[in-house]
Amino acid sequence: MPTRVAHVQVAECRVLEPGLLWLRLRAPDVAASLRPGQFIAVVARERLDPYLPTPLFPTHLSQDDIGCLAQMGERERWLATLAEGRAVQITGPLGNGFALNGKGRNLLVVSEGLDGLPLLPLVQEAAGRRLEISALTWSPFSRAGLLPPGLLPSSAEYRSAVGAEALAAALDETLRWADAVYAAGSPALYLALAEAIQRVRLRYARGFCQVLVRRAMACGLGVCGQCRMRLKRGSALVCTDGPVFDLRDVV
Amino acid sequence: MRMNEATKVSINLSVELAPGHKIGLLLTTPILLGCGAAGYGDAPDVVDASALGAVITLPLASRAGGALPRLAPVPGGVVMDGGGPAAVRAVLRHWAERWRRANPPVIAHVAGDSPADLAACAEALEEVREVAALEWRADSLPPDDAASIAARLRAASDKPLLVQIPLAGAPAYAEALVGVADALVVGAPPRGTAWSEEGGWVRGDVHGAGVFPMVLDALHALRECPLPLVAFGGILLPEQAVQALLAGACAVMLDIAICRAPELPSEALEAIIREMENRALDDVRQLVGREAR
Repeated sequence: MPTRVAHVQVAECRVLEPGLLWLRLRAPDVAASLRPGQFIAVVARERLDPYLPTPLFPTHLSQDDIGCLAQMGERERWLATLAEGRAVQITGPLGNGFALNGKGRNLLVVSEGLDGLPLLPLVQEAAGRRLEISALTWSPFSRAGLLPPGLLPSSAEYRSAVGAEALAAALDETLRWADAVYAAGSPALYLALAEAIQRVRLRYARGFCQVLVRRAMACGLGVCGQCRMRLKRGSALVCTDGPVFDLRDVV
Repeated sequence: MRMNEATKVSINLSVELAPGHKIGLLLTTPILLGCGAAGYGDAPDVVDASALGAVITLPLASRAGGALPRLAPVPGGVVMDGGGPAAVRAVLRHWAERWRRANPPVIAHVAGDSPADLAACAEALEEVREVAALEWRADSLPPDDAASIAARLRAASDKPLLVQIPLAGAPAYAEALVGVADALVVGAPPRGTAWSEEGGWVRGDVHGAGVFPMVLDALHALRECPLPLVAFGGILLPEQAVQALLAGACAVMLDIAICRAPELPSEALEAIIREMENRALDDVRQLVGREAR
């Protein structure tokens, strides 16, 4: 679906806990065409701060609404001030999202804490197709900030791991079973994932593991070049070539 | 020429940015997308390309620069370090075919570490017919040095040359560049430093609402300049495009602000047309500099 600019209404806006925002936008023109892993850029034109649109990854998609459960950094903080009924401008869908591999029945979804929130619509879609889902949430240091199991469909198996060794052990166990892997987190997670895949499966085909890469973005449209990142060969723009990449291109 | 739907009177929105050049640079509208607002010469799909007179590419150089870009949002703006330029040959491999189909015309922003690098980049673009002109940024050099490098670029290329000059001290640059540049872009974004949310300082171009008054100030200071002027920086509102023309700019170049307002190019053009109607003008050139006093 082509990217479009829409002027939409805030249907719901709540700070669930410090640093975690729930925003629901009534946006029928864009919601129906968003794929898991794609994002939108939100701006209020009459405000000068923030100057750049805020990229947001939808976590709950329906025909008419875009729901975003988002960690609040500097760029997201203003969203918490939006009153219900307020109009904002969104641009979307932006970027390339996750693709569910048609042949895969067993999906391993790996999330580094709440960085994995953009994986939620993918998990919902997979559950709707009655695929087997194992959701592994990982934190390098503590259990605080792990993706809560209540956000996942009941049909998904939930695992958690804290620390590098626990991650390696959990991956070794689940990668044998998985037909496809989807991940969202830091470069450290992707490195551990690549090493585990090579350890367990020796080799893996392109498309086996898709990862979501985050980098500070300015335009979201591929015109400013600010989100350029290095790939194993060459470079790419996170906003238009990604944000979902094949793990083989990233690590 | 465009038809005013209300009055059925045709109006001329085209501007010539290189009147002293043998080929010239005739644009169908006075709205351009500046470097960093149009990728490598491709207006984003959400922008109405028919409102645009030209698009400027991201920086191209004879060799790719290694640094990755970084940005730091600040209240009311953003500091952007664009990273290293792209290698012109690589860009040509990927984009020359798209430029062939491009509408509007493409202006290549050339960069380089030395005059020889710049000349090599310009030479690489010389045979690319789809590149209508070159743009070069002169803000890190004293005016006379900038003029001598612009002359070197001029010798390396037959294409019209636009030079971005700094907002501070613009008249000295304009004086040095008369006879060398075909048009001046007023101006190069001011430099700034900000702390990045990802950690570390970001040093680079400042974009934001506060830049536009500086652009207007520089345009007023350049009212006697014989070269065509292009206003660049801080244009967020359609009426600011009109103000820039009234202050003496022949055209306006929009920056990263178009990601806030993808409709800005068409809104700016509509505002210019409205202003022409209010003043009973049928040629946009009659609007240029009318209030430059």
